This record gives sequence, structure tokens and C-alpha cells, in this order.
Amino acid sequence: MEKRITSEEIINSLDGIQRAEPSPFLYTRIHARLMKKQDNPFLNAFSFITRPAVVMAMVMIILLVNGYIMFNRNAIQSNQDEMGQTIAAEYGRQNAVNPYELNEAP
Amino acid sequence: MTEQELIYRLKEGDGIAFKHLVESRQSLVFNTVLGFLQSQEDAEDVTQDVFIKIFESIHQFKGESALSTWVYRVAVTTALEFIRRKKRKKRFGLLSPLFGEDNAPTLELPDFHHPGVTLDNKEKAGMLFKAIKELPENQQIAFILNKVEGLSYQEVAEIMKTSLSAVESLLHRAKNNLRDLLKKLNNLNE
Repeated sequence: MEKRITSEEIINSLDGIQRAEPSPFLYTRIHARLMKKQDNPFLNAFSFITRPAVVMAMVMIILLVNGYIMFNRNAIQSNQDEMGQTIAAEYGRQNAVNPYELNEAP
Repeated sequence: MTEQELIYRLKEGDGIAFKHLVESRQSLVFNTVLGFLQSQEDAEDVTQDVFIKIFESIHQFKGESALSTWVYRVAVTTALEFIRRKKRKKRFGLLSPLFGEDNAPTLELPDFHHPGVTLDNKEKAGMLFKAIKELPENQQIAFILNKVEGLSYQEVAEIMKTSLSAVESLLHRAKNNLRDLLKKLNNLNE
């Protein structure tokens, strides 16, 4: 009669398992891969650029430059507005009557 | 070479220290990775990846745990990343034809047989490894580290950065799930 295998027997089938060993020359292979990596400047540059710290730093720089440009643009615009008002005041344009408004006057 | 000395020399980029690390921890890494990947070829490649990762990120090791604990963590993470990548590729692979280039049907991979399992247990271990693949990630990690790698609950807890009771609970749930999975996989009637 065929013996039925219980799931408990299957779960315990790893008891006394021996460690598996990798094939020899593992270090030689790793060393060769490391050398290959170091010899490839593009790969090095790529792995440097894709580091999370570098990516975060680049995003921060872009945001800072963006903020600086926006802040400066606002400052220049308000400066220009002020200059326009000064020039208008100098030439007495502030009190000048708009010809289009003449007919509207009561 | 003491562990402190080894870590110091590794951080200095010492080649001899790295060779010592590979030779002293290669079976630890390979056996762990093999438990997850269940393929000798993939495990060989991922073992190489693990040591390259260790070489490149040794400066991130702060010495809060033993070096072996950290090596185990890198091995587990790299193995799981490899499995995820493979699953993603498989999902895209659904679009590829069911038949190979020469119009021959693509073959299914045979059952995995761990080289460290005794001949008597070979068949049962094959079934077990098939079921382990279906476990949730955390249960898989706890079960493989405890059963395949032979680590104590305390060591598993340190590697997984969790408590002893959490590991006990994970292993309990893993065994329950395995029982269900084995029943489904093999139609076992107890």
C-alpha cells in the first residue's frame, strides 16, 4: 500500500538541510565584473546620476533656480511698474484727461 | 582579521579584505539567495550582484548590527528585487508568442531540487519549495532564513528588523499557509 505523504512531513522535509555552495571562482567573476564597471566611464556616470541623493539634489537645485527666477521676475515687474508711475508723474500724465472719458462726463 | 578591522579595510577599498569577505560569506549569500530564487544559475548571478552591492555601499554600513546581519539583508533585498524584476518581465512576456522561435512549445521549468537536501526528502522538499514561492514576502523571508539557512528566531528578527514575537507569528502563519497551499498543490487528504 502506498504511504500517504502528510503536509507536516513536507514542511519538515528541510530539517537537516545542508548548505548549498556556489561554483568555484566566484571571487574572480565578481572581480572581473567590478573591473569592467570601473573601466566604463558612461556606466559610472550613469550610476552616479541615478543615485537617490544625486537625484534629490538635482530636483532641489531646479526648484531653487525656478523659485529664484520667479521671485526676480516679480521684483523686476514691480520695479518697472514703479518706474512707469514715476515717469508718468514727471510728465504730469497722472492728471491728464483721457479724451475718451470726455463724453462720459456729466 | 577581526570584524572591525575587516569593516575598516573594506571602507578603505582594500581588495584583500573584499576577497576575504567574499570567501567567508559566499555560501551564506548563495544559500540564502538560492532559497528565494530556486535556480542555481540565477542564484550565481544574484550572489555576484550582492557582493558588488556590498563593495559599493559598504560606507553606508554604520555598524549598528553584525556585518553578517547586514550581508543577509543585502542578499534578501537583492533576491526579492530580482524576483520582482522577473515577474514584471513575465507580465510583459504575455504579449510574446506562446511558441518559441523555432515554433516549438516553450517548456515549463522543472521542480527545483536544493542540492543540500537528502535523497529521501528530495521529492517532499521539491513540493515545499513550490509552495514557498506562493507565500507573502515577509513570511517567505522568515521561513527561508529559519528553515533553509538554519538561523534562530532571534537572528531572523535582527535581519528583518522586527521583534522576536513578530517572527514567531510570521512563521506560524507561514506554516498554516503552507499547509493550505500543499493541500491545494498536491490534493493531499489528511
